Amino acid sequence: MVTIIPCLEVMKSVTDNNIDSAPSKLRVEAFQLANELIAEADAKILMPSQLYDKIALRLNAEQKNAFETLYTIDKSTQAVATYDLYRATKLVADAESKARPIVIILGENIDSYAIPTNYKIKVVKPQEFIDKIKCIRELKKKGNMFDMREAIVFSFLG
Amino acid sequence: MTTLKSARIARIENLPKEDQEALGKTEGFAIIEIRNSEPKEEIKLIGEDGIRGYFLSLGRFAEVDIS
Repeated sequence: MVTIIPCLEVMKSVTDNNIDSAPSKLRVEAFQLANELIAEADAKILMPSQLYDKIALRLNAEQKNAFETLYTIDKSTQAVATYDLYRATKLVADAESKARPIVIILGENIDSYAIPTNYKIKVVKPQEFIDKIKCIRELKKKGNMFDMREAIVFSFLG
Repeated sequence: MTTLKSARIARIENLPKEDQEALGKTEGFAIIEIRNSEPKEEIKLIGEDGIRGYFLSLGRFAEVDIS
């Protein structure tokens, strides 16, 4: 299973009523593709509760119910004062990478996350994520018989 | 008045034929909702606005700074 962890800037764009800028549109497109991979490649969208708690401020009750059932919220570091969003993301990504073939962290300000140097964790910007997923889909459309999950692992980890 | 209790994303290709016919589509993505009070399944197309558009169909986002 592929795990995708969206960063705050991605989720800010997704939950913004007005997305006008090109970078915002890219973030939303990347998140859309990540959602499609849930059904297409058995992917999981995971977020630490520090991230979800911020996003939840923008959601009504129904949006929260949809969010909490579509995505996995990791509450391991909830209310732990020493864990900010970045530290929580690092911890969750590190643990997840030990259980999954690949963890993709989707964001732009990626230097802030101090991502562990685990080879199974790949940090990608929205444009790179979009390009790679579209490339895999094109190859599949041309009749290449491969497993979507394996193709994602190969494409992102090389 | 119904309340959304859960949502799942699905490929339309994987839905039963009768659901595909009801949606009028054979490919793309859909959201499977379960709504209360009497639990009932509803299937909605994910349109051009994608998952963000789906969330917006449930209401506008609160204008809160989440930096």
